[in-house]
Amino acid sequence: MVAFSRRGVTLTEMMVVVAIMSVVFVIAAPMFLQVNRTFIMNRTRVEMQQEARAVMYVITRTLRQARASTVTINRAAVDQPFYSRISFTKQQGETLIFQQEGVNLYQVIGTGKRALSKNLRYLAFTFTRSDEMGIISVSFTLEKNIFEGRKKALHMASEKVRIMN
Amino acid sequence: MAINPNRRAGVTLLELMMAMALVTIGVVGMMGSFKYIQQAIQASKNRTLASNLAQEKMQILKQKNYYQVLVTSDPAHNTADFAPESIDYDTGYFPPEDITAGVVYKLYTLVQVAREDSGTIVILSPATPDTGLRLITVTVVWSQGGFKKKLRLRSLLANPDTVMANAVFNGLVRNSATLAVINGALVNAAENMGWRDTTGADGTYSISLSPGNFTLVASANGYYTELRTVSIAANATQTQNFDLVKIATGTVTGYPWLADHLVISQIVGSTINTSGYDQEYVEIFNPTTFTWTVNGAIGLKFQRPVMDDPVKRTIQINYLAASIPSLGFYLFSNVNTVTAGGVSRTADAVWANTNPVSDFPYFGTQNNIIPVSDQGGGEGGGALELYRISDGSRVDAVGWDKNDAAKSAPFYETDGYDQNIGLSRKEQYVRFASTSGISGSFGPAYDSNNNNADFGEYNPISIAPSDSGITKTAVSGTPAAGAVISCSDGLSSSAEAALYGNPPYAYFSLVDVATGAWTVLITSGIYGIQNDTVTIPAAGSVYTFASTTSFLTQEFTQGIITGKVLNALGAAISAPSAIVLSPGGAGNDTYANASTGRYTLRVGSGPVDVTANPGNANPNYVSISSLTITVETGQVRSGVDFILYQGGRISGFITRDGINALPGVAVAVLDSNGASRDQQVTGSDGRFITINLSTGAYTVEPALGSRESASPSTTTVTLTTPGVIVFSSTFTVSGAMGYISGSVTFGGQPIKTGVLIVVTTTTLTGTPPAPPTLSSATLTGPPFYMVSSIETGAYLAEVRNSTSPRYNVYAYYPTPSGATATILSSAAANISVIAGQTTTGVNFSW
Repeated sequence: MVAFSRRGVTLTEMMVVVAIMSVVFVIAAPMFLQVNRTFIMNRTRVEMQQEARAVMYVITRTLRQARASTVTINRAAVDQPFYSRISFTKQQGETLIFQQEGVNLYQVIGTGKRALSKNLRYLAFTFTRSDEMGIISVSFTLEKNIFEGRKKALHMASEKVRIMN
Repeated sequence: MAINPNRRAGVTLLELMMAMALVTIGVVGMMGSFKYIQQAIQASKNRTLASNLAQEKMQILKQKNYYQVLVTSDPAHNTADFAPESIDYDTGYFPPEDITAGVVYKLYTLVQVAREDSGTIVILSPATPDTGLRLITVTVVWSQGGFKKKLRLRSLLANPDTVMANAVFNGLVRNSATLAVINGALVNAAENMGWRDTTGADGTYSISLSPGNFTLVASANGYYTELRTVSIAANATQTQNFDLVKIATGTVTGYPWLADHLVISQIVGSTINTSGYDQEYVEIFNPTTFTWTVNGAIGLKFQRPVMDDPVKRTIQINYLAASIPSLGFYLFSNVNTVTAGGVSRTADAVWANTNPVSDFPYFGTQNNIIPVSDQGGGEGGGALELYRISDGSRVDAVGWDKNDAAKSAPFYETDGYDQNIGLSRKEQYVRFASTSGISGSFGPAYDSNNNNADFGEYNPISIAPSDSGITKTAVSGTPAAGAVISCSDGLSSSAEAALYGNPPYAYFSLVDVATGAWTVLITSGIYGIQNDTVTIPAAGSVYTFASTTSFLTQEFTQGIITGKVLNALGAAISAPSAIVLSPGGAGNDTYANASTGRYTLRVGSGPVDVTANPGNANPNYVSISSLTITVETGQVRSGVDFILYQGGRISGFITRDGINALPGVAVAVLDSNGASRDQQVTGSDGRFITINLSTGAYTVEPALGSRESASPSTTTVTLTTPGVIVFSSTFTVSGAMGYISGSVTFGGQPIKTGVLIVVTTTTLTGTPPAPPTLSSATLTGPPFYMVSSIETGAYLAEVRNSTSPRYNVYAYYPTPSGATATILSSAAANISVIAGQTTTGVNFSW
């Protein structure tokens, strides 16, 4: 026992250890990678959901207070998608704009401009029919890049808002 | 252990491997926890999605015209997923939807008539005329990890065009004898359950309604319901006090017995007949209501006390009679003719000669199976078992002790029959006929499952044996302790039978039973009895079940719903036919009694919707459905009452061009006060027919969206004769909506992120073709219809009927990058849309 314990590791033992550890790492590495990827993907999905909910809440809450006669839907510039901008005046007299600029969704109040989301993939403010402007449908999709160029989109089903005023 | 300072050794291979093992265990543990994290994330995601789906459905419903959110009169019940809770849902107007989004979500929708009554929301029967308030319930059900989950949203939908009720009835509801006010009494108009109020602690009520002629119904628990015909003009307030007569009550009592198995009724071990033969016999009694096959089906086993014979021995038997009739006997013996107690009887079965002496040591002596104490050798104790041959299960058992030799019965029920020397010659053990003891004239049926309480003895034999040719009336059985007694009077609650006395009997007393003739149900397990002629003639009367009518002999796999059907004058309906009551799929239909209006429905357990006069089988009266009632097996649900008023029906036809049907259009029927009395939606043939409406003048009006118009816009119909269907009009609707549907794909794959679809009759110009800015300033121009494609890459646009000019459909697929976006566009021309129909296959691909 004593004699044995005095010896260090031999080269052979060390090589065996290194070999075993290599095998273990080779097997474990992709698993770790996969777990990590799934984790990030799920985290991103949850983030997107939360962001989408928050955005939808902000838009619908303010839009409900709009005066129907003041609602205009168009786009912020010619390089933006159609009907990606809505402007309206609230019952209290305040004018608000929600608009898409590329991947950004902005809320504009007077001269203040606030980004609600920087992960916009699609945005459309639509009347179900233009001869009845009391109901506005808000549809948007948020999307965020995950590493390796993989994308995960979350479509928030369009919510319809009835303008009461 | 001291560390050797000279030690220079590195780690050994063993140490390294142990370290690796520890690290591995740690890693594996962490990996395991990932699974749970994953599940938690999944659960949260599923719930969020379910919540979104439910909210979306709710939004869709709430955006409909109020009259298009229809109430089903026949909801379906899903009791499988969350038993015993039931998810009620509509299968007709808003059928369940399956939505796949990772997991499969099932969306159930139910619309009910609601009404605010004294500060709370009450749900009313689906036939209630419009109250201006509907309760929408959306339930989303999905599976996760093998478990069903659900999420439920409820929302109220108010009719924006509700006519203000401008007449008021108010007053007090009091006890007619004491003039004390009654709290919680319900006052409503029979014509409209929605016009109602419940009295508070001060006994007052106030109902706002439209002017007209009504039947006011005042009801309170424990009081007779009072109907009063009243008439009120617009803007009037009328006081109607109700002094309700308290229902006099009596009591129903009885002694319920169970009789579900054969019993051993008499045992004789030895009696010498005139020719000196040592006879023995075992007599069986059948207290049940059916005939039992004995030959080859029922056998006997015998065992001496355990120290004499440790094993139960099967007796070999030659059967002579096939069966034992109801209330009849069956005689097993060792001789063909038994002479005892002054009579001679033909044995129905005899011991076979093949019985081995090794099993029955006295069989060599004149075929004796059951030894008696006079035979010496410490004999006298023993036990007999009646058993079913097919599976060996015990039907009945009787054991008797020989206490002077400390020899207990080898088996018994509760307690062996206490005997000092045991069974002796010329002695008979006889089962009691009732708690009073042995009787020669009534059937020996008393069985409290205690041998020591159920048997008596005679020496010499004084109760003659009976064979299968003899029957006797049974006045007892097994005391039905725990039996539940309920009555159809709608007032009393239920009672439970309990054991009294020694020997014990079961007794119940159901108090506060209203005066009148009722159905009483006594059930214990699957057995029960229904008595439809229980009468409480006056206050304080006691009805006692006769001993012969208190056997729980019927097998109950059903529950009972009782109530009455009356017309608006409080009378039973007989002309032109009695009223049919239907429990839907839960049981068979029945008729209400033509003179009393009472009915009794037998239904399977679970939720039941009862419909009175389904399909207007009696054409003079309306059809009304109850709210969902939950019934359990062997239970009476009483007080499911209906008040039907007379009425006729209105039909009509809705067309898009005078010839072709326009399905899916809601039609409102308003009474002369402008209150909606019924809404219908046209079927695929464009036709509608209302429920029965009370006689009077009505306005029929298609409920249309903006820019839709009907010709004529309304029609007035007068219903004069109950039971007649009056055709209102052919309505031609112009500007009605149709649909365009299609898919959007990119490189053959559906586009999940969203494509904007614009439908218009104008031609757009530019690259890409640009739709105009829309605001109220553009309202007068040709309309644009817009929709975004959904996650599956499909779209459905609702557009107005137009075949000339035809529509152009434009699709825009934007891809943002940085601060700008590129737009792919596509267009389809010459699309025509017909009202109520869908133009499919307008697809776009890039």
